[in-house]
Amino acid sequence: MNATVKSARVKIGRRFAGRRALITGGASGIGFATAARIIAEGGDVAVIDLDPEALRRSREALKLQFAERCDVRYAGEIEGAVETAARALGGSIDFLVNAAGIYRIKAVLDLAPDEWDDVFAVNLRGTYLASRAVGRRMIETGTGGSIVNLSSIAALVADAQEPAAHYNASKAGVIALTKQMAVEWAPHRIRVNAVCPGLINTPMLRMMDNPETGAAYVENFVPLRRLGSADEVASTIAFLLSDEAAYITAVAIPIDGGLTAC
Amino acid sequence: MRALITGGARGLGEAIAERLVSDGGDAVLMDVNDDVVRTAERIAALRPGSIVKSVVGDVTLETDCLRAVTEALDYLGGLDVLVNNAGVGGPSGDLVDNDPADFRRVLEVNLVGVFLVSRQAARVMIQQASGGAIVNIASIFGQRGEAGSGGYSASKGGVIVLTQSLAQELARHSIRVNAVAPGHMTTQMHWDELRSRATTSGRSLEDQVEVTRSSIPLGRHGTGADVASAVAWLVSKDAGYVTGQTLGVNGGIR
Repeated sequence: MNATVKSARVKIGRRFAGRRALITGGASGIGFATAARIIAEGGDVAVIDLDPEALRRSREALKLQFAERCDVRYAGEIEGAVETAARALGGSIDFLVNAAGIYRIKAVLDLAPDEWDDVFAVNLRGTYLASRAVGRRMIETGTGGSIVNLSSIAALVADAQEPAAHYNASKAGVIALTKQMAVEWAPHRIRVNAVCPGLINTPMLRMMDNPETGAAYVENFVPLRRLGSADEVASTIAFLLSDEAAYITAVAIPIDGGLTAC
Repeated sequence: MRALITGGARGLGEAIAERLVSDGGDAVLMDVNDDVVRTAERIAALRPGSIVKSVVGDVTLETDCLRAVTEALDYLGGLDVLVNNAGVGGPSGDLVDNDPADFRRVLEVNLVGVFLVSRQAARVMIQQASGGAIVNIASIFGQRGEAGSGGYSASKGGVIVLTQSLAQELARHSIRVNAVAPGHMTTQMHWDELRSRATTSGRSLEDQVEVTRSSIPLGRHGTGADVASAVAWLVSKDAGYVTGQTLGVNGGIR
């Protein structure tokens, strides 16, 4: 099923020539797909991630100049990584994609405070820390920029089948953080937006662990009746990063096959 | 890509048509204003070999909507994209003072018009069985109510919810339906609104423009090109998993 229209857009393809991006959680899933898309359109990408094996694979696959281990929970680590990544990219960072995130399923009454904190530390604190480090650089260099944060449809709708209040709340926090940074940094020509992926076929997806109930869920609750791909999220992120979205800031776009439109 | 664009004579519709045609698409522009004939001729000249035609018609009339879609099919050989852009400003002033006829009028053009054109276009797209994309031009004033333009806000809010219903109904036919919600744009409609507000507030038009501009985080009014690039993305393969959504193009205003 292919709900798309062939576009003869000629200019798309080199939107990122001469532009430099840093992607957290860029070694797998949506982060990796975004790195690949930016490079395919002529941009340079630096990736940070927690998984050494995924970093090695992505470094090879995308011929990355910079793919280093970094834990976004710690201010010192992320600030150091931003500095070295900027140097590796040639001095400046035009784009930041905050794709580092973790997903845990647990009902509220079973949820330990430490588990709550772990999810918030990566998903929300990590997004804040990386954005702060890169935003500060963008403001100092005066070049403007564009930031895209990974939220989730879990920030918008609850789901009794896959309880994850800590994840949902952290991703709702990402939207609030996105809007606030967008208005604070707009005078510096920095745009900040979020994407809210729905059921996307990545290693993080749990819905299809039971293929039968998963397929039934997709059939019943996703109007387009299929999973999305990491590439389809990456193409949205690429649009928001690009000058095509020059007047778009402080928005959160669901990429969910219509799930939240019901 | 073969597109029907309503309200195509000027403003946002004209900018959207320019963009889609420049990108390689063919288009039929519908407008109640017969300036649309000259607009179509001018846009056709942007890309040699393009097909750009016009239909003079009123989106509030069922017969005109059917005729526009039928003529678009004749000219273009099919229909992949519909952009519902035709719209009017509503009555200004408090709702308690609004003339019911004025209130009904803005709903008729901005909301019923979207329904009337969409049903005709969707029937064609379903028949073609090759998918499609519909983009409705809503407004930030449809994402929240605005004092002093309740009728306009209600009409555009209706468009946003209609977008969701249409998206659900048409998804099984691989037709995606989304909305774009512009903020303060450099269009005649916006300048008319500011002129009216300037009169009410006793400010000069220049001061009124500045009051509005300073309320926009990105510090400028939006342009037709800003909206057109959002529409171009929404109808493209890059937005293949996006449906039922409303994309704000507003420089960060709430």
